[in-house]
Amino acid sequence: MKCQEASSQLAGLLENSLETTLADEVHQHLGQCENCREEWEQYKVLMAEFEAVEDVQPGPRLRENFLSMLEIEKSVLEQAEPKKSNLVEPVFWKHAFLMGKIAAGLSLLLGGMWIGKQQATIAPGGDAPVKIVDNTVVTGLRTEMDAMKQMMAIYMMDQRSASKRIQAVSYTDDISILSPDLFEALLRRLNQDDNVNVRLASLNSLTRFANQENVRAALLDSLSRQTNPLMQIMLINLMVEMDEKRARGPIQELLDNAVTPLEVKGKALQGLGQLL
Amino acid sequence: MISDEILMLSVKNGTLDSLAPLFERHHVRLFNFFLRLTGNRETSEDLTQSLFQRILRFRHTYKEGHPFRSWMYRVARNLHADHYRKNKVRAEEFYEETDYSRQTERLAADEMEKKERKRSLLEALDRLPPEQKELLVLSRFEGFKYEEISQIKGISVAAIKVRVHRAMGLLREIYFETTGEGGKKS
Repeated sequence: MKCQEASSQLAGLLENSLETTLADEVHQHLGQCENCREEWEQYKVLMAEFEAVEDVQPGPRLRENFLSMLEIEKSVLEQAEPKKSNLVEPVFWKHAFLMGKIAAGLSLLLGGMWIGKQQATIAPGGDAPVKIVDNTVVTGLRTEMDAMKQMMAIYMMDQRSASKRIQAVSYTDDISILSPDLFEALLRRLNQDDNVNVRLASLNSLTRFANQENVRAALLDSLSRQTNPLMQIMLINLMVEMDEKRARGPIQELLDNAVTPLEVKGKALQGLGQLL
Repeated sequence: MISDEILMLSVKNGTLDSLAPLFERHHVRLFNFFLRLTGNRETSEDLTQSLFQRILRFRHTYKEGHPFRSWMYRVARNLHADHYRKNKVRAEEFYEETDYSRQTERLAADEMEKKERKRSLLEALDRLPPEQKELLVLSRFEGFKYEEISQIKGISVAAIKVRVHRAMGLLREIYFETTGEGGKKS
């Protein structure tokens, strides 16, 4: 193999897309040719550089602007449609004081964690990092932050705007322990929210804890409560995924119910077959 | 996990709130996609915002069964192309950005080194012709497979592959000329 040919195959070799024989030939050439080997090393450095680039976080302004834009677009759409009644209680403002306290606590904790991180990573001599802050302190702070986050999410879940309720539900996406209060709040959103997307988001959050018996039982129970076809399909899928045999009863009921939409009946029939 | 496609269908059917979880899932990656193309933080936030607005306005053009991510990036690159035609932004602005500088101040010494490395790679990328730069951003940063890029750009997979390889070759030449390290770095 000549240099020009080997060189033209290096990008392919880099992404492992060459056939074995061709790759072997290129490797063989690299073993003999210093110039091509240098070129190959450069490609590898370049790939490592790509991998080393980390994502940058956008500012909070982006989310705020997005939510405002969404509200405007919704109101434009709603002008063409009759208004639906909003059953959600505007309890959010009643808890403004508590929210302020939670937010203040959260910033303190975040500040504490940040200082802890700085102290832990910057070494006095500038060489090897020296750990000053005990790991258990940081873990403790994290647990407390998790709890704060849950409380904040619970209060935000009662907001009037559906997109804000979805946002509140999604705050709980990375928590590791489901507190009884959060469980109750998510369950209320799942079964009673008048917006199907909030219900879907809650289902998404609760699914992460489906290995807990209480959550599993609540999801099973929810199957009989949902009237929206999308929710019914999502729950049937979930029951099949979890191989939850107790769901056969509620699924059969959906199948027997005359008002159940056809696409749900199809999914129900399929689900019953899978849960045998 | 509710799929992007189901959420987008819900948006298409008039439940605009379903865009909120899609925003939560994708906005950081999209912001970084625009940031790598434009090199400007503020512009990238504006473009990300405009993208979600376009998704709403053009929701009727989303076809059921089509992968949402490919569709979204198609809209994103059209948006960037429009922006590019109007303004040609220089990469240096990215590094002079106040927010970004403030963020880097918090980084320890090794992090600063990482930033330098990022600068030369992004600078080298910026010296590529726009189409090649976009191809590398899609394949190397966004992790799209050639089949997906082919869907996004409407060009055959074979052509995409050839162009990505050519772009990598050119980037290598630019990068090692820029850093002056001639491959000695390992």
